[in-house]
Amino acid sequence: MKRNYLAVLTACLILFSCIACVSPDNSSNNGGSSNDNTPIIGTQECEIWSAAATEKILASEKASSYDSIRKNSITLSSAKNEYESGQIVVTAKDDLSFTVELSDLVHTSSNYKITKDNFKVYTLTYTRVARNYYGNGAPTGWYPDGMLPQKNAVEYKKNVVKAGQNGGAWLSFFIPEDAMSGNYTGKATVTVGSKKVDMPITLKVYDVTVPTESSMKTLFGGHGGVYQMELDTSIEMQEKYTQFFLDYRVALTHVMTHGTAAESIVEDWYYWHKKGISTLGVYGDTMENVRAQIIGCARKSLEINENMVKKIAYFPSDIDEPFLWQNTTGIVSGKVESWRQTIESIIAELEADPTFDTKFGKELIESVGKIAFVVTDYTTDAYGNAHRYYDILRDENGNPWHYPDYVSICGKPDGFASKEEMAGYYNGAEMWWYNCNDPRNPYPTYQIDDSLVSQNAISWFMGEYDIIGNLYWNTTYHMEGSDGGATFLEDPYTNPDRQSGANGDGFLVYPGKMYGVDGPVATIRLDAIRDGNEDYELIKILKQKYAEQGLSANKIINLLTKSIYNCSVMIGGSPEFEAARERLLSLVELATTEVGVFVSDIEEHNQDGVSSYTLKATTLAGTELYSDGVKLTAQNGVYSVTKDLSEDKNYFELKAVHGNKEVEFNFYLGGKQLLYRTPDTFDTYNISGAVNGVARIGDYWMMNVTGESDKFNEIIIKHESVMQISKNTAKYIINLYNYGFTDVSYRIYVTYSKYGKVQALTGTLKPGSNKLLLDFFATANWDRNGEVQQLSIAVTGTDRLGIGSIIIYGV
Amino acid sequence: MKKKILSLILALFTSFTCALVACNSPEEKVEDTTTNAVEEVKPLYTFEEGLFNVRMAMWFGDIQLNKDPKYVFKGEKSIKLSPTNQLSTPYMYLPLQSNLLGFSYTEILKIKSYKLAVYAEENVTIGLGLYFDKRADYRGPEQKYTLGAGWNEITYYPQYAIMDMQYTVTDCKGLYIMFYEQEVMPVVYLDDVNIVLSETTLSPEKLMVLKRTDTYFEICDFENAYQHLMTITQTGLAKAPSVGIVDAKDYGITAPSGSRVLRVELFDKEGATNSYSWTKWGFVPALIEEINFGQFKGHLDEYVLKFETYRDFELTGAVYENLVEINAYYNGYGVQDWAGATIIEKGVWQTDAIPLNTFANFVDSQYSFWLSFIERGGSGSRVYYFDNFRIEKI
Repeated sequence: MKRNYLAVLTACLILFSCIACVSPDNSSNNGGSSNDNTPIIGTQECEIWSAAATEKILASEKASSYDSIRKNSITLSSAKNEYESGQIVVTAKDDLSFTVELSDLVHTSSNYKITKDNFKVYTLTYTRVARNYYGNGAPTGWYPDGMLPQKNAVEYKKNVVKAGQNGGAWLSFFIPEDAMSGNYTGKATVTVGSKKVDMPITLKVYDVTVPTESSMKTLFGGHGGVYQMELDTSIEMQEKYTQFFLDYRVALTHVMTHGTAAESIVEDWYYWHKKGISTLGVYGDTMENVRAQIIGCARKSLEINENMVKKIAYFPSDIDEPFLWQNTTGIVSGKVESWRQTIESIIAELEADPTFDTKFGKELIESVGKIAFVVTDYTTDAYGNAHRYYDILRDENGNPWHYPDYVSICGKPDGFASKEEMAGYYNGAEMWWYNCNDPRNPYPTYQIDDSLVSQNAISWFMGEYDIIGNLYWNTTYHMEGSDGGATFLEDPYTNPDRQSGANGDGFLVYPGKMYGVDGPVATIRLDAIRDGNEDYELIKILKQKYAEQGLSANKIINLLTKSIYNCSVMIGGSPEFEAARERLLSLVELATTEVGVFVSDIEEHNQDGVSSYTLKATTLAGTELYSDGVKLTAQNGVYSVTKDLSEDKNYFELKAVHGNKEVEFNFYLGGKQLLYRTPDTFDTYNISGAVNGVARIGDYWMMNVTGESDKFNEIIIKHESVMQISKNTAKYIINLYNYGFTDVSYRIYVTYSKYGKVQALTGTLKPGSNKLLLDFFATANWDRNGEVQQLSIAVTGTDRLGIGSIIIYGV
Repeated sequence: MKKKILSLILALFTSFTCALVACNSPEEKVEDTTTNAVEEVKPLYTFEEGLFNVRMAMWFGDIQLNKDPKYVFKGEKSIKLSPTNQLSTPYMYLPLQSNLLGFSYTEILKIKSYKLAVYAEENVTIGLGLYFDKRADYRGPEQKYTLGAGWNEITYYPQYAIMDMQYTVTDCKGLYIMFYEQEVMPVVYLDDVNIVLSETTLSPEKLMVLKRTDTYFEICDFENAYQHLMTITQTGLAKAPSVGIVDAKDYGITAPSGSRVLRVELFDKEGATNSYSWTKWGFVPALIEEINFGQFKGHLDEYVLKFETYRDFELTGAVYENLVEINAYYNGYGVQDWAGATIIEKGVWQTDAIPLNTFANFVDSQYSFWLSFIERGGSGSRVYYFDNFRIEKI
């Protein structure tokens, strides 16, 4: 089970390579590792090592479990005006305490330095996951979660590591907006007892700036009881929480601190608007109050000549999750209709007001009409109501009812698992989605036993698919029990289960007071959310810059993300994510600096089963483009470079030059491709099972399938290609031929040496040729499963099946 | 028996206010002269580990760890309590169990007294008492202490017999400290909280007496002063309701029976509009236990819960904002049944009757019983009167 977890969460460094997608790439800027024969830094008392800040290193796991991801240095890549994190792990041989001190980071080609006052050191706190609710096979044990400021950890002796366990320091680096781009070096000094050990830090700062104000909307809820746990119910403490989350690029659902009257809310909105908050959450459960807030906001916006209205979003909690209700008759439709009438009446009032008869006034009125009305539900179009636990939505007359196009239907990630499902949410209203104790693996969540890559990926997905808003029910829930009987947890830090059936669900910070912190203590999950939200801004910038050139960045963004997620299904781990992020920074730098390079596509070509790739790019005038050191020439303004997969590792490596400005970009295409053409002898397939005769017809061997035609009859394949399948295999494609005139149902089984036989795929074969794509090996649980011994194809309803060539990507 | 109850009540309302002489020498120990029994002092909260497990009510104000030696009674740390007079009575509480601090005192009736040190800058009155659920919503009557300037060493002797009329004493979860509303709220420092254990287990005397016939089961007729102990209050965002037994004629009304009734005054929710929150008063769990709703199981259709109500103000706002809801909590404090709602008439006594079969869950696992009111802003104070809660055979 533990090893299973490592396969999924740490996503082994040598994980799969795949076609036209970013994969872990040993030549990328990943720093040293134990794999390159450099020893982990050690003393008599402990081992000191590092790992990417997208990895969760459990206190209770053996350090050797992380051998594939352990490093002896910290390597960071960053835009400007953003935070990046690193981590140091101390594995204790005997009980010990440790601290970490960071140096300035010095530019390698100038005297410029990013001073250490931009950096913070936190000691990780650990929470005991007693049950893996998320369902990804991760082990139970002590997970890192809280980021306790180091000085508080020292005071409260929380920087202690027990013998045989891991203790972590989380390092937060803020890269100022005016930082020089380029490479930096510095060090982290780890003090254990009287001994000091240095760990090198390298940082690459791209010539890219993250905007200070987020464009992503967020409505993250909070539980008022946290102020009791902070032993401070003052307005100042409430403001500290709102500001804290704002610093993490998250807007709390309700920022109000001075009362729930509309006038107070608008004044609080104005206060936080000036501080750069992205979202102003409507408060109130009566439409009269909602109306007063929106009108007040419009008038305040007119007064200050800044559009606050476009930041408003309304999550009507009284119709939360209708799909869970037993009876929705008239309730949801009534609320939605009430919203429509309210907005129309507000618009009518403002249109009748001569002070709004200006260009800006009209803009405000238009913004009122676009305010997101966020209903947490799945689209009926996507699910055909199948996903509902109880009844379909009905209007007041009991007739089936569907959301009108002005409602932001806010689904959970499991509602975005395919393009077809996603389409149902694009109704013209602002796109939102949300997360809570559900979904589970393989969808991205904020749960503790899910990975930090997931917690980043939620924001990436939003950027890629134009989801504007992110809703999360609670960030500060530290109670146990329910309803009137809920009580405060004595130690919220060590208990991740708020009895919602998901570890970490309902909280993203811890109350700080019990450890002397004046305000909340962040979690590494919240830190990852900020990372993701910063990347969200970069994705938006990339899209904007491409759009300004009449281009679309969608294809190239998808090429970055397809190794992280497939629609909303998580498939990649840290290496894929770190590599994709590096490319994102490069692409944004290419598009936003004077070199002005726009990589519009990386196309796959298939010639007789052999793949090659063509990168296409355009540049601004005056920019020269080089590939593998060779200057390229544009044809009709488009540069084109083609590569095949003949090497063990295959890349596009570009350099753009404009005057003195040089920007490099490389894109990993994947490992070597193997093509097994249709063999001259059938025996080469090494087939057994339900076959009693064969004949070669064109590119296929036609097999007579034995057995009862209404049963699934199984054909076992032990071809050489099957023995090549490994965790590096991104795709395994087998060509089959359906000789009939109707669809044939099939099942694919994989037999593993340890785990045995599993059903891996089902589907139908269309009449004629079919390519069967098996792309799950890279994310399979190899430690649990063992090696692949055989593939089986079981078909029903046919007595003929053809088998042709086999292609494998990544061996 | 009645004399005994009255004397206890008298003690509760009069002599429980203790004036303490300022004790500026932390080393000086207060001798317990009330008994010669062997006793053992156990530290509860020294605050040397920090603020672990220190709890406070919503809107209490602020509690900080203090390291200024001037305000430390023993060791190196104490805590600074800065209550506010926002909305509701500020109180903080200290559980008798803590995993982080490593103690668990569950033999409540072995705790003879609580000793603690409180520093005040000037004279201030505080209350000490015990609470009986994890959130300290259910609290026993407090004992008042008037503190002098400087360090005050307090020994609090819980009146278990009184508390037994309200709660199951062995359910006690800890000690609470409350502050009384005043224009400028005091700041005090708390340190060195100990419990004094007795060798023997105390046994509180049973004092509650309820009138019963074959067809009539008293819940509370409010004719006796001690019945004030039968009521408790909670609040949402407004000040807690003021609840007291009064002579009806003092308020120009005639009691439906006897002379005394329960007067309930609800206060404005300041600055807040249009959001639901509730204030409420209820009957204590011990009274509910004494009534024993379980005795009606199997015959619920034959009984009805009745009480008289009277409203002394004009209604404003929507109808639903003036509803009085009846809620029965069962299965500990975790679950509630909504037993009904009523609009109380103005200027006349109205009898409300709720069939006992409405409480089907409650009779199996009774806990407490509440009347709840939506908190309102801008409506002024609202006064209701209640009398003669009872169960009658139909």
